[in-house]
This record gives sequence, structure tokens and C-alpha cells, in this order.
Amino acid sequence: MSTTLSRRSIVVAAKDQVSCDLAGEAAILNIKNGVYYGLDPVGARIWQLIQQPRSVDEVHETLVGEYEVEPERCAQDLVALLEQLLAEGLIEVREGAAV
Amino acid sequence: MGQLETAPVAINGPGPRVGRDAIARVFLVENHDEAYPLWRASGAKHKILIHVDAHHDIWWAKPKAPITIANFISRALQEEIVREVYWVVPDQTWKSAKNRRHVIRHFQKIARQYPGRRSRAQIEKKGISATLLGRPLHICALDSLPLIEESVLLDIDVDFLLLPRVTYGVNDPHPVLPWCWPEELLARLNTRGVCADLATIAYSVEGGYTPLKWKYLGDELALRLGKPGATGLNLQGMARMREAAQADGRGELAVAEEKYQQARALLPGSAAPVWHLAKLYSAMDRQPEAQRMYQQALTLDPSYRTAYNSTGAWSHWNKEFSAAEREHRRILELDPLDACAHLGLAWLEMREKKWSDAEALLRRALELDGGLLDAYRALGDVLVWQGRGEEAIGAYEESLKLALGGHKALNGPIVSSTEHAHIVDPGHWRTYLQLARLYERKGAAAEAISRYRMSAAGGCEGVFLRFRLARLYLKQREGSQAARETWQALKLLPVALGNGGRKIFDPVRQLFQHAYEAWLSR
Repeated sequence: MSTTLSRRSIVVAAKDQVSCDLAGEAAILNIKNGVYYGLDPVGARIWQLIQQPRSVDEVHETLVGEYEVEPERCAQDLVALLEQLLAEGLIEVREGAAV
Repeated sequence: MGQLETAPVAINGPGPRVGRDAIARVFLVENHDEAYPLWRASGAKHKILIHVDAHHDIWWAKPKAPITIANFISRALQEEIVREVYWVVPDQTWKSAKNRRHVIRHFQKIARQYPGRRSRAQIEKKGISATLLGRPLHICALDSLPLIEESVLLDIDVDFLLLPRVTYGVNDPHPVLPWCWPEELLARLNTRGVCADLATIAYSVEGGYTPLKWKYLGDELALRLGKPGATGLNLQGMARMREAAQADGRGELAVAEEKYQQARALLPGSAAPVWHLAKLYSAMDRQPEAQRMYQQALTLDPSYRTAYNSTGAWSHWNKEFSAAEREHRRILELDPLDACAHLGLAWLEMREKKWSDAEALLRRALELDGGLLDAYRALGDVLVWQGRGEEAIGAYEESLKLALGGHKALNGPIVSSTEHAHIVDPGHWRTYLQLARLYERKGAAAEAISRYRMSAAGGCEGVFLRFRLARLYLKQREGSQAARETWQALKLLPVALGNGGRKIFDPVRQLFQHAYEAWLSR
């Protein structure tokens, strides 16, 4: 398992958590340390997407297709959120295949 | 020739003497746990703490547990900010064996919580001495404080002035007037030679420990600690407030009005005199003046717009429903826009199963304050009772979102620190359970599963919950998950049966405990 993120990284929600949708937002409880998190609607959509392993690029493309956002800005915000989730132990990261 | 006045100065003394010298660092906080970061920021280390309070605030705080008003001294002990604690309790705590029993029970429960070998406690008629984490803890009255030849951390809760004794397992008694006024408290600390270079004062209105009407006593304490012997307008105003309260207590309402008006003139920036006038006019059936004064008080100090502006919520939780209704209605007469009073009345309608009346009150409460998570939760309950499951889901989810956003439940623990995110909402995980049932009822198995799992992970664990999860997984054709949940349920079965056994055993154990405490406090 990798601990750094690149556009090719494959990300997936970690196993030691439970989460659910709260009217478009998301609540996540880290079972390991009992810390509880909330995600806004865009964060909740990202969380929904990474319930299955996906590359960062793939998530990025989906978001750019769904929201009116500059691709560059979207990439920055996405990576920032994923890094936060990684630091909190809520996602696992694997290196994707080299293109 | 005038008499030479010798001004006592702290030459070579351990620090400013309380009630005689000015204390430079006096901090006023709403909730008592806010004292801890102030001590830490001041760089205090290995200090003696004099904690003047009707509550001990020293429950064991596990290393990563949130710091609350009930445990912040424990954290100060663990971090060696404090090396010795004097918990100064109200005088009547020691008056009789019956009163002493309450403080002894507190002490025994505290001692049981702390890790490490327990030292032998000295339980006497005027005090208790023991150690916690190897550091001395003394519980005593003001007059039993020994001479401490160093500067201490002085920590006062305003509720000390109001609650005449420590209580355990029963509600705090709230007499009409304080049993001890600020001036007297500081004079008695002065007599004991207490020196302090930092003092913290907690109002403790939130939670209902200090009735809002006595909040200003905290301001008076701060004034007197910062400028002992001063006779400025502020202290004159405080003196008029005291005289007014005493007149009010004797039923001399006209005298009380006059004194409050004088206080108002002396304390033009303070909400206290006008708030008291509002209450007085309300009691005198002078509603327009009462309303005007009340609005002025809220303008002068918005913190007076609080759920604890009356004893309504407390009365409700103590099952004194008529008193609760009276209080809520009195507040609405003064302020028709008070959201918490609407919520309180809605709770009462719910007890009577008047669902549509309750719903109307809850919706009004939410119009007035969209952050009242208790109102959303109550609305969810009302909608469930009316068979409107889909709308109930929306209301419950809103309550969870508010809690996630940092909103507090009215009966939640008081946690001031924002260092770590804490859910201050005792009904939070149970709400997930409610949601799971609603989703299950409408056949949304996947949604029900995730909410049951959240509820279980949050602590609402149980045999039935696990069996329900197993059944839902079976519906989803996830056999291995269903088997896992069934196994979990079976593992929990002995605990559930044990709880049943405890229900029988506990009363017997309590009987022995009472007999033992009675013997100790003879």
C-alpha cells in the first residue's frame, strides 16, 4: 500500500470505517480510533465514487463531468481532500499501472 | 492629625493576597472547562489548585477523551499543571452526617475511576484527604483551608455561591438567595491567607448550574479580585443589585424595583439590572414594561438569549412538567421569539400525544433557530408517530448534520474545546438506529444496513441490532456477512443476559453501599 498520491494512484475507502449518506452529505466513523467526520455534498460524491477502487484521474474526470469547475482547480481540491482522508486512515492508496 | 493607614502590601510574600491585593490575571469564562487551556497557556506548572465549587470537576479523563466541565482538573493533574488540589465545598456540606454522605459518595466514585494503587483516604467530619495519581486531593470547607505559603491557581465557580451543599444523585438545591455573596467569599479566602497570581471564574449558566439571574455575581467576583477595596460605580451597582435581590426575596417588590433601577443607572452597560427588572415586572403583571426590559437585556448581552434563561428544560428533564410549562410560557410572554421555549412546549405536547400541536411548535422553533438539533429530532419523532416516515427521515438526518457541524444537544455534555471534533449529542447514535428502522420499514435494505452499522459503531450495540443486520444481509444475499452478524449477536447474548442479572443484583449491592457510607460518615 502506498502513502503518497499521484494522478495514477488507485484509491479506495478503507475497511475500518462505516459511513452513510446524510441527505446528500456523508458521515464517516473511523472504527479504529472512533473519530467521526462529515463531508459536504461534493466530498460525499467523491466518497461515494471511491467505495470501489478507482484512479485519481478517473474520479477527477467524473467530477469535471458532473460539476461546473475548472479541471485544474478540481484536481487540486480533489488531491487535497484525498490526502486528508489518507492522513486520517480513511482511504487506502495503491500505485496504478504506468501509462 | 489623620491616622496613618498601613496598606498591606505583598512584600516578599508568595504573591497577591486574595481580597487585599489586585490579581493581574483574572479570567471570566462561561464553561468551567475553559479554565484548563488558560492555565496551560499561562505556563503554570506544579501549582496548587484551590477549586471553589459545588462540583468537583475531577472525574477521570482518559488520555484521548474530550475535556469537559466534569473532568478538566484530571487533565491538569495528568499534565502536571497542578500538583495538589483543594476542592473547597459549600459550608453546609459538612453540617450533618446526611450532608457529608453526598460528598463521600462523590469522593469514593472519583477514587474508583482513577488508575493506579489507591491510597488510604482520611475521611473526617470536616474534610477528606487522599491522593489521586499520587498527588494530594483535599476536600474541605473555606474555614478549613490551611495556610498555603505559595501562590496558587484560584478557580471559582459562581454556583458555589448559590448551592449551599454538595449533592450526589439528587438535583442541586437552589435557594432564593445566594448562601454566600462574592464579598464574603473573598473576605474568607483572605482570612485563610490565600495568595494567587491567576484566577479563573466560571459563570456555569450553560447546563443550568448557575441560574441566569446570578450570572452577574461572576462579574462582581472579577471586579473585586482585580481591584480589591475599590468603591467605584460598578461595585456600588453590584451592592444595589444585592439589596434589590434581598428585597425581592422578602417580597418587597417596590423596594426591589427601586434598587434595580438604581443599579441600572450605575451599571448602564450591564444586562443584569434590566433582566431582573423584566422578571420583576413580569411577576407584578406589568407585561409591556417587562417585555421592554427583557429586550433591552438581550440587546445589551446576547448571551442572555440562552436555553438556560429559565428552569424550563431542567424541570422537564426532572419530570416536573407543570413547572416546565409555567417557565416556558413565562419566557414566551417576555420574548415571543424564544426558540427554546417553543421546543419545551412541544416536548410537553408530545407527552400528551398531541402530535399536530407539537409539530406546529417544533416548526416554529426551527424557524426561529435552525440550529436546534433537539427540535429536528423531536420533529422526527412526531412525524414517525404520525406515520410520515419519509419526512421523519429528513428531520432525523438534519439533526445528525447539525451535530456533525458542531451544534450541541441541550442535554449534552459541555465541551468547550474545539481542538478535536467531538459529538456533543447523547442521542446521536440512537438517531441512526431510528433511521435504520425507517429505511428497513420502507424496504431500503442497503440504507438500513449502513445506518445500523453506524449506530453499532457509535455504541448502540445489541443482540437485536445484530440479528436485524443479519436478516438484512440475508435479504441482500450476502450470506457470509449474515453469518458474521449472527455470530456477533450470539457473542453479545451473555452480556445481555448478564445485564438482566445485574438488574436484580444492583439494588442489593446499593443497599450495602448505603449502609457502608452511613457507617463512614457517622
